[in-house]
Parts: sequence; C-alpha cells; structure tokens
Amino acid sequence: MEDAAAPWRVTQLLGPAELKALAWSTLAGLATTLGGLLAIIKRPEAGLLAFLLGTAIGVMATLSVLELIVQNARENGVWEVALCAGAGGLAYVLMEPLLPHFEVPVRGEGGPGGGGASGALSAEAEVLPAAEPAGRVTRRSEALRIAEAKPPSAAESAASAAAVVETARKDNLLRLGFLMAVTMTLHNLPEGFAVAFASLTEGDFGPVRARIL
Amino acid sequence: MALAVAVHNIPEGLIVAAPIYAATGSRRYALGTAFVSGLSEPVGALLALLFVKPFLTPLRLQLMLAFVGGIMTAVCWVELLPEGRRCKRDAQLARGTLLGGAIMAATLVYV
Repeated sequence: MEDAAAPWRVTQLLGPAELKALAWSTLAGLATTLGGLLAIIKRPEAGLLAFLLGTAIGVMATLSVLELIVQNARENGVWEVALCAGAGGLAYVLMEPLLPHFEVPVRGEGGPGGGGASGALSAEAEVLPAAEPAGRVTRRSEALRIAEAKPPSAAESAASAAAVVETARKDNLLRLGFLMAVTMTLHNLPEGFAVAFASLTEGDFGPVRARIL
Repeated sequence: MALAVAVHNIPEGLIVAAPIYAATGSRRYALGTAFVSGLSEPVGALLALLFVKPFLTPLRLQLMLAFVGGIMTAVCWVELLPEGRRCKRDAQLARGTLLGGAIMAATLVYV
C-alpha cells in the first residue's frame, strides 16, 4: 500500500506545468550529450570551440539582458529587478573562484601571441610563467601545471616545453575530464532551476517580447 | 530559456567529453560522462519544483529570474568570454556570438 502511494504522491506534486518544466530541463541537459558527441566525432579544434563558445555567449547574454532583466524591470520595477540581477551576478562572481578551474586541451594551436588576446582578459594568464610560449601550447590546466615536474626555463624551446606537457597530459586528462564533469554538474543544477522557472512562466512571455523589441 | 541553456550546454558537453576521450580513447566512456553531467539539469529542476515552488508568487518568480539573469550575464563575462578568447580565434568567437545573439533575438520576437 505504501509502495503504491509513493508514486501517486509524486504525480500529485508534479502537475502538467511541472512535468513540462522537467521535460524542458531534460532536453536542455541532453544538449550536453550532443556536445560530447561532437567531441568524439571530431576532436575540438580551436576555431570550432571558439565558435561554439561565442554562440553560447550570444544566446545567453541576449536572453538574460533583454528578457530576464530589461523586460522584467519594465514589468516589475526597475530597482527590485536591478537589485536581484546584481545579487545574482555578484553571487556568481563570488562563488566562481571556489569552483575548480580547467581549460580544454584543444587540438591545433593558436597563432603565437595572437592579437590582443594574450592575457588581456584573463588574470590566470599573468600567473603563468613568463617562459610559457604565449598561447602556443594547448590550454593548460592548473593540474597539468602542477603535475609538470619542472617549470620550463627560459632557455627551453617551445617544442620541448610542449613535449613535457604532452607526456604530463595523458596522465592528467582523465582526472581533468572528471573534474570538469563535476564542475559542469555543479553549474547545471542552478541552470535546471532557471529552465524550470522560466518554463512555468513561458505563457506570459509572448506579448511582452513584442513590446520590448 | 531552455533553448539558451541547451545551446550553452553543447560546448559544456564538449569540454567534458574531449579530455576523457583524449585520455581513454573510449568514445562510450566520454559520451557517458557528458550525458550524466547533463542529467544534473533535470535534477536541479526537480529540486527547484519540489522545494522552492511552494514559496513562489508571480513577482517572486520574476525576481528569481532576474537573479538568474544576473548569474547568466556573469557566466558570460567571467567564464565563457575568457575561455573563448583563449582559443585565439577571435573571428570565430565573434561570428558565434553574433549568430547566437541573432538566434535568441529572433526567438524573442517570433516565438
């Protein structure tokens, strides 16, 4: 009797709207598999990865700024929304250093010191040893750097430095992958929240979108 | 929203699977790990629905979404953008950003 009651209670808790929310978040989660598929069909090459990351930036920035913040502020009060959005951003910025950090070992190297990209944005770049051939070697994680017995001296050529990384890499890639999976899992939980809540309000968005744009 | 998160999950899956595939050479293994990490998405949704929803009012929901919007904007700036720049393919990055923004803007207007 108890066994029969449990699933019944769950279905009571989850009405059609909730099930829809779950379905959406599952679909969004499955996109991760799609990315994985891409990775095993074709090893990530820098250009493709940059393109995909760019797409993600475009989509997320547009969505969050236009829909979640600007439109929201027009409907629900500028100050409240600004405060909440600011709190959200701040929460992430404060939490972010606590999350483990990785970089993807992409195949295919970038142009040496390509443009303004070198360290202009990332604080990590400044921490890297100066001898590091700027952007030459595939991205290196903290773990790889530690695993490396000796830091490349200035005298070492870029090629030998790359070779050291190459040998260290295989041993660490697996760990890197799993740590990455853990990180992504942590990132995905709040995303699931977001998708679920957005889905609950989906019906209201249409006319508002037309108004804002 | 689901679309935006889905699009952003694609490079995430790639990031998870690529190192594992490179290390083990096992496609199934790499794909499986990416799949499992994607599954945390509905788990988060379920938690949200079960524990947070009872306290929701329409206004609180909107404010929650604003909070999420703040998080997502921060993710773009703090995480995705630097990662994209590190690929040293700024043109590709810019093309992707434009495409993503265009897709999203289109869905905001027409969907």
